[in-house]
Amino acid sequence: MALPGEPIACERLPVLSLESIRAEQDLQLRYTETRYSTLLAKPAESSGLLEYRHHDGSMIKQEQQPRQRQFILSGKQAEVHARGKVRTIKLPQGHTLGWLHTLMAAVARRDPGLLAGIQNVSCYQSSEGWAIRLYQETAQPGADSRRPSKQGTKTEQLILSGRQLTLLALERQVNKRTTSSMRFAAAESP
Amino acid sequence: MSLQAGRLALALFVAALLGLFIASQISISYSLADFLPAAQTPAQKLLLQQLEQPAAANLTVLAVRGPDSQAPTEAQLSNVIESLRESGLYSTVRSSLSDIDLAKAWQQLADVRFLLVASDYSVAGLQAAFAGLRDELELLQDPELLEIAARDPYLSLRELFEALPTVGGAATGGQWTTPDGHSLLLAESSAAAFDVAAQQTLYAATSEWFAQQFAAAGLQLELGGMGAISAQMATHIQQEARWRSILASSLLLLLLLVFLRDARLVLLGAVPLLFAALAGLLTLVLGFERVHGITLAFGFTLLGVAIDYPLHLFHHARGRTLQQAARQVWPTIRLGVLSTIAVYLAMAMAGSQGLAQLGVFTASGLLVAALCTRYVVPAMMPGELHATVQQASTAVGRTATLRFWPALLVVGLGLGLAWPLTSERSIWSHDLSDLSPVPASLLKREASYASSIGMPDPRYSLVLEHAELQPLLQASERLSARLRQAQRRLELGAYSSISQVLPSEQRQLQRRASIPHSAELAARLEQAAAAEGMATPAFGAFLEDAERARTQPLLSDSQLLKTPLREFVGSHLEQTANGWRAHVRLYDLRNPAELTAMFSQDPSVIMLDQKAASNELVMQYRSQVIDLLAIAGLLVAVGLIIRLGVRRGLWCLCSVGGALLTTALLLLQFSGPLTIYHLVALLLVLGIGLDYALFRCREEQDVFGRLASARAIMVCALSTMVVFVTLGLSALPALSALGISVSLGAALSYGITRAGSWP
Repeated sequence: MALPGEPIACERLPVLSLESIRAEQDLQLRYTETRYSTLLAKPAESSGLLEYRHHDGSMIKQEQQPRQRQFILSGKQAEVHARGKVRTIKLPQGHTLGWLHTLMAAVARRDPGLLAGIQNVSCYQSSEGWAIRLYQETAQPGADSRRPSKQGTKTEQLILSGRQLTLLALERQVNKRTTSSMRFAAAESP
Repeated sequence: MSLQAGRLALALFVAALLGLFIASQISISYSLADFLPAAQTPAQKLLLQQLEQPAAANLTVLAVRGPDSQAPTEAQLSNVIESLRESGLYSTVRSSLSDIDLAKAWQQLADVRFLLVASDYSVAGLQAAFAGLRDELELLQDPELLEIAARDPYLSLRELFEALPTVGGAATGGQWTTPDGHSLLLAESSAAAFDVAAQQTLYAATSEWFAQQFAAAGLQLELGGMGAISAQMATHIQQEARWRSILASSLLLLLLLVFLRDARLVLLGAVPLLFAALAGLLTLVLGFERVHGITLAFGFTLLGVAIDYPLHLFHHARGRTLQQAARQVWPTIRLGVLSTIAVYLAMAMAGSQGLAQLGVFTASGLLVAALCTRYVVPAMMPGELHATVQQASTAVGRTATLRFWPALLVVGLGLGLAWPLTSERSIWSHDLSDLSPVPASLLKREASYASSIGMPDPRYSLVLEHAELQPLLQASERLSARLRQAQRRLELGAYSSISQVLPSEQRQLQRRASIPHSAELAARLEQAAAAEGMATPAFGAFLEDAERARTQPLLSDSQLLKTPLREFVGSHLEQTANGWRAHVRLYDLRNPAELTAMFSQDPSVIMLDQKAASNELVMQYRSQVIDLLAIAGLLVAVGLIIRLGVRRGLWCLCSVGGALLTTALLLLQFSGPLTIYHLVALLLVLGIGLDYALFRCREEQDVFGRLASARAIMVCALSTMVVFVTLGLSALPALSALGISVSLGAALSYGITRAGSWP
């Protein structure tokens, strides 16, 4: 996805947009996700609710279709609740869910400065709104950072609406191939 | 009278040669186990072995804190880990068990995973594996992990690693953090915990590396773990002992100069001490393979009484030659030395190598000091000594009137003061940890690290032993099954055993036989994949691996030593002189009574209760030492009565016993149950008290002899108190206990013998 415009410091994301969300309220987003994997017979469609909880700073990804599953992110851990079992796993650094968690915290707490703690993150103003893009590992210094670079690069990009600062999409690419794509409905917060 | 410089130089030359020989031969150990008696029960044997070779001894804990005492940020901690790995100071660095690189572990263990982990190859089992995989596709983002999942849909190795609550802690995935905000790292080095010099070097290098790299960023570092503690304590003790020794020696020198008024005599007075130390060390070097650090520390302290011999000699040499004075005081010194040596030799037979060394070192040292005083010192300074003692008073006779009541009164007062306690408090400390020179604050900090990292229960563990490895592994599997069944009843959080990573050959054969034939497995896999929406072709490598595993050789313990499981194997399985030993570690045990009920009467399992075993050992040790000392005391008593007559002999015994008993009572009152430090101090008090009593009650040739003895005893007592009060003011528990006990004992010995032989 082409992203016009020059990168800006993420701390300069327009705070005004964040004011559309009340700070003390939990942030909820409906999402639909398409997951691609060589292990799957066909791309897996799923949908559910993404929630940032103010009281403990955790994020819950509640998959509702086609099956009930829940991911609870707290700190650097992810709890997977599925089929009556709970598994706790340390989230690898730079994992999409971890990044999404930080991003939701930045939005919900009206603190874009939280994004400064993430390495290799760039923010852009695009025609669709504000875009935040994450580059990892093999991104070459001086190369056009808006394009996925050579073999082995993992990129994630996420687009936010400039007016409502609503998460619109999150795509993850590994080896030039999209492995997951999330689309978000409007925020349910007033 | 002149000092024979040539003879002194010859003596010093001989001393230097002996010193060089000793330095080239001596090997020092620091194991506390050497100071305990031979173990009687299997649990005691294990305890002693663990004291000698503690588990996780080569691990250092690095506790990192950010600026303003806040926890460090993730980026800061990552920098520390990366920099530490690059520094080359440690072979491995981890911030949690999850730091084990699954991709790397996969390379080393992929081929044996079918033997390591039991998998269900039925359609239902495969379907469950695929369902689990689908659940976690969200988390399997790395291409390496996806590749592993394609070859191992059960994710069996990850499951294996996550189930190990190893020395590295429970695999809950979180960062190890203490309640006060330190992030913990575990680093493994090649330096053994008891190699104090290597640990001190590592400690200094780590501190310097951290200061250079991170001090500017405001990060703070604390080092923990057994090696770091021993390095810290060694440095602290060396510094403390050094400056206190310099201070005590300076004060002693000043005191001797004031009383002897002759620098040459002060110099000569050091000769018996020098040769006593050399003789003690030579005996140890010739008689023992290695010399214990505690032997040296305590031994040199016990030799302190040897300074009394030349002081008696010099004070009795007024208007005489040293040879004449030596002949005069020799019978008393000889009786005192032989009595003291009898006690030390009794201690040497107490059954522990450390005490044997201490007894032999002190006995040989004191014997040489006495002989040196009798024969060497006088030869170095021929001619008459000028009068250095005060003039005689007419009130003083040639012999003293001996009175028993001062000793009885002091003991009575001591008993009165301490009696209320004796019914409430144990006289002797049973706790092995009381022997530790490590301050309580450091021990508390270590406990906090251990708890944050998720170390196993420090008190209880289970041990299996067998001459052969395979029966041991089978027994371990049976024990694991029992623990699994009883886990709820035991209120046991988790346990770890060698069976988790090294199945017996019997079990491996069962697992290998359970792998279906390739065609059969492919059919099952296709059916399960279809049900879960998985792509069958993606798992082709799994089918190939499974087919190969059907004929692969069995896994051995040595294979695991080249993998990330090496540390786990090392802390759960060991080869002993008699065969093999497996340790089962327990985590978060809430119902130890049930554990005791389950295993205390089971001969196939050794239930190690560290506290009970160590208490038992200490009690046994104390009982042996006290029995032997009582026998030695009786022999000494009989010897003294025979040699001195009933009244004088009994007076000596009463004075020494009174001082000892009162010292012990006062220590009990003011510092709690008595430990080995107090026992060593009481032995020194015995030597000192005996020396004072023998010289107080001896029949002198004239009234000046009485005055000389009185003055010599006063100088001896003052010098002892100067030295030991200096040590007693130390913040180190061992030095403080020793210093306070000896100075108190010396003061009481002096007071009792002085009041009991008036005028």
